[in-house]
Amino acid sequence: MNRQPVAVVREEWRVVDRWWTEAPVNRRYFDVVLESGQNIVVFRNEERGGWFTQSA
Amino acid sequence: MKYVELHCHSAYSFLDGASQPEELAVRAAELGYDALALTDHDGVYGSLEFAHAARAFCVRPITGAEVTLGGGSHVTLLVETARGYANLCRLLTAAHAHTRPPGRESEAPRPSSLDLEQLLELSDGLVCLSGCARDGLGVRDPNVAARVARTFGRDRFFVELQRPYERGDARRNAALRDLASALGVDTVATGDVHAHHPRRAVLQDVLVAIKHRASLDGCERERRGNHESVLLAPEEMAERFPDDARAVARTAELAERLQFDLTEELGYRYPDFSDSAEPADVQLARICERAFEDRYGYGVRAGGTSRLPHKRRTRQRLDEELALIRDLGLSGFFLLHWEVLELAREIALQVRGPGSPRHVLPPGRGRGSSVGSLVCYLTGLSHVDPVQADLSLGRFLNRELDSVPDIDLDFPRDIREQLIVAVTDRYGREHASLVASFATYRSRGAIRDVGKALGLPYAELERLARVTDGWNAKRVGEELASLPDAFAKASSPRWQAFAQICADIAGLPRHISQHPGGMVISSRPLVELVPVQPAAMAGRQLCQWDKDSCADAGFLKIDLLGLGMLSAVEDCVDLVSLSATADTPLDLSRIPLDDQAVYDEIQRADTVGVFQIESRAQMQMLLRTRPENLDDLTVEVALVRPGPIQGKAVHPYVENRQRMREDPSFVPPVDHPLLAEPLRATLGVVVFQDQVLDVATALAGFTVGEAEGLRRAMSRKRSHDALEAYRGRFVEGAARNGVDEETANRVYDKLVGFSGFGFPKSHAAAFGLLAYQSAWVRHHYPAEFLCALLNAQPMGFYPPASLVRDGQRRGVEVRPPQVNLSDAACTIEEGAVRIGLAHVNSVGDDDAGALVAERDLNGPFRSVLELAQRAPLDRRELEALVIAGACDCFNEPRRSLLWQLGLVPETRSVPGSGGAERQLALPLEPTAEVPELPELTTWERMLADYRQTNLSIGTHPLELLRPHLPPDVISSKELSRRPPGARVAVAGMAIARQRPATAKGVVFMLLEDEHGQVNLIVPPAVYERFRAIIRGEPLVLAHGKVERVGRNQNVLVRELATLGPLARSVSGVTEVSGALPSAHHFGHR
Repeated sequence: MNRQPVAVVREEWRVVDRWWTEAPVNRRYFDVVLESGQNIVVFRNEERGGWFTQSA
Repeated sequence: MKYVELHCHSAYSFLDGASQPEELAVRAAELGYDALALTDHDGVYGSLEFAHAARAFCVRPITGAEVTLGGGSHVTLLVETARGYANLCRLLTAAHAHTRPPGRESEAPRPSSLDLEQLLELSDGLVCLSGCARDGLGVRDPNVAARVARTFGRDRFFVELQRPYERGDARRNAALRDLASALGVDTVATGDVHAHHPRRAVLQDVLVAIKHRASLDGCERERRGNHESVLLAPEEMAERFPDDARAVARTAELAERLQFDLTEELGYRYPDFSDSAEPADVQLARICERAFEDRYGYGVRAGGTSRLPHKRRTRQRLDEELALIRDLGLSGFFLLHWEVLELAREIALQVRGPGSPRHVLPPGRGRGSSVGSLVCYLTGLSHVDPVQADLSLGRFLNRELDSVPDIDLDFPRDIREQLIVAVTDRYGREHASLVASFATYRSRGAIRDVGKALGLPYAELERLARVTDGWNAKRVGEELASLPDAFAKASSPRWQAFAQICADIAGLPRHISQHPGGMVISSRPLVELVPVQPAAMAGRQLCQWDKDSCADAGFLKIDLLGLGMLSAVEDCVDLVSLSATADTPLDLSRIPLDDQAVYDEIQRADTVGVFQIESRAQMQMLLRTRPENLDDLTVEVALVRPGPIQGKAVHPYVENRQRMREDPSFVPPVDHPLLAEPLRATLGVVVFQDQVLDVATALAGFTVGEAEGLRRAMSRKRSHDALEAYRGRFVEGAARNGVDEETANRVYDKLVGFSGFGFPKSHAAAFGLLAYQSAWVRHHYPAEFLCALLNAQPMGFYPPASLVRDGQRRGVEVRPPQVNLSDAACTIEEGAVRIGLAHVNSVGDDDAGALVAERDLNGPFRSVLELAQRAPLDRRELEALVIAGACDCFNEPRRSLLWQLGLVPETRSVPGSGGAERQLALPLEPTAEVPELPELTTWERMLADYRQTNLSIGTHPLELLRPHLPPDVISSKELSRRPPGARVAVAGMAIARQRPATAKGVVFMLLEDEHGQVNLIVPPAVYERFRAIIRGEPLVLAHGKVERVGRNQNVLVRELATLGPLARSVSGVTEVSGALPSAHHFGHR
């Protein structure tokens, strides 16, 4: 993640929302701790692909 | 890894679960589940339906419920033993007990909640899980969870772990594991399932929005946030709990213990008098003997005709019937019905008052095959002497009977209202309740609710709701596609979702409501067999099962039905008996059943106001079938129903009847010779529900059990697929009888078409009799009949105005409301009908009654001012009386009377009385002369009559319009002289409008002019063009072509126009249409 190895996946959750709009949301979220000790939340956009980070 | 789902909601978790119990059962089987628990919120509404469906698909059903405790936290209760099921029912009953506080029954119910102490007290035989991730007791209140765990013990209390893929799952489950270990109990994994399949999850979101009366955007917090709470394969569920393998395995171990089977004998017994000192057989015989002596004891009728032979035959029949009932063990069954009737008799005495001529009438009457039984006649369950009327016991009671016979009882509305509460009180609130019925989604409700949740424009939804066929929400997508802007909508995600979700929501239950009158009574406490909850009417309560589930559970359902026509006919008997000409009270059970004059009218379709055979469709049928006796009427009432229409029975019947009239030796053709016998009485077609069974037995060799299964599949809302499943057996069985596949399929298609929407013969027989009786009183006592019909409104096919016109055509004098002569209701006055004051709009029953009471006490009113002074009416009501002509007796023009009323100060309520006491108006003597005011014109008078009383006894609007109509417009009288195919124009006031589901979009309209009525047939394309006129205009002009089939005459409409503008210019009144009554609408909109 951000070119750093993931040490621990603390949790995984999913959000499926706004499916009735032009901009549906379908994401798999992960709360991870990197080997650097940094805690970040990342998600994969299941609609269009691609990984994104979100402030934890 | 074995996993069993122990936490699962169906659509009976109203507006939360998104799948039918069957869908869950089928999906569970597909996914390889051995067992599945249904745990709906605070109820077992769908449990029996689920249990039967699951068994059919080899999934073992587990019964349970997710119960809300006081404070709002949830626990999941699962049934282990029969004792546990009884306790669950008691707990759910207790949880609902306070949902409708006294005096506020009709308001929205309060949420159900169970007192913790009750749960702890009735925990035997139940297993308790700590509840769901959001609201579970384990999450919300660990201290209380500890108390529950102590009571249930570690064998029967488990902490529930769920993995809904929400942020925070890890922390919550860690806390729950800690709780379990602190309490010394185990954990189990559950799925909190809300849909049977991932594709149904969007509907679940929508249901949450509907429940919270919000749009999807507006209920983010309440929604689940993803689509994970669906039924998944056991392996997939195991994967969700990598750290809790034991909690997963334990689900299967626990399920193995939960062996209680809801589909097995529940221990229901109706009160069968087996515990009384005297055996039921003896009691029943004694009651019948006494009634027999009363009825036949004298041997000679008042008229002098010897009745001895009749008495002998009756005696023999009674002995036979009693012996049969004894052998079948049904004496208690008849005693129970007799007891309910006795209760009704007491209530009737209170309702009718001791002096009423109605006291000779039975309090209610059976409909159905019970009419053929002498024991029913003697115990008051039926009102026809079956020996005299030569009715056979046949279907009702025979030695092959495998279940209790069906007895439906009809009561006048006033008696029925009180009887339902009285039965509950008599047998005890733990032993008797109404049967539930579930309001399910049809297209209009689906369009409105789903559309609102999706945030679609209100106006567009209303537009769609108006054009929809009204029933099947699965077809909303097709209807959407037929709109002019369908293309634009197809590209919108909201509209796309809308069509799919409407199809998915079709048929799902929305809320619980009352069955029209079905009651179950149990000698073992009913509240241990099914939970009971308060209904939306004071004193009433209902059980959580609908009639199908009650039947599956083997409950005896007694139908106490209310029938407007029965009220009207009774009222009529009262009026006849009160009139000076009657020397003996009229006894309807003794009227001749073969009065030719009555049948002449029926055959002429002169039947406005007659029970069941008054509608436009029935009238057209009467002209063709020409009923000659009660049997014909029995077929008649059953024929014009969706079942026979869709089963393609109507035309063959009519045709065969006609040919038999011409050639008595004609034998109606049948699809196969094996059908000749079962369909003989109905000329080769299926008219009655019971004939479906006869056909299945005769043609396909169905056993009693198979035929019963087919009957169930046909009568139920949910099993179209099941119905198709019987096709194979039907065709195979028919083949064994030498019937080819094509014929078998053709016959089966007709049966499926018929499916469920027909009358059983017995029901039709009772309705046919009431149709005859109402036709009979209408013929012999037209004034009394009209009077009673007006007092029983709203009911029937015609608006009051048309009933009055019909009465006038038949020579009945109708007099307007008059403050010094009218009662509150309509009355008979010197042989004429006097319209009652309560028929004046805005004058209520109570105020009209108060006016009459004041007049009776202190004499007639001498002026409008005195009326204002003495009668406790407000200004609006007084003005309404004047405008309606009720004050014309003061011999002053209505405008002048209104002027005088204007000088009367408004009455005010007495301070501190809460509005209950009003200071009477003390009018000032007029200081100024009443100015010269123009009298109302004929138009104004007529419109005022319609506006104020919904009827006009004087001029018909067409009489006034006729001189101003184009010269080619003909009247209803002239129409009959035009040849078929002639182009005509007719004008009239629309009185009924019908859009039957079976007519493929054709609309039928009934126009009334000053001479009579005209039937219009409006094809779908014409309807689309002139929809606004058809739906909204009271006065219309129709161009079209005369159609005549036999004695039937219609105008096939090509064009329609409103006569509103013409009426306005002729009358000089700006508001014409608004004053005229709107047409009655039937069927789909």
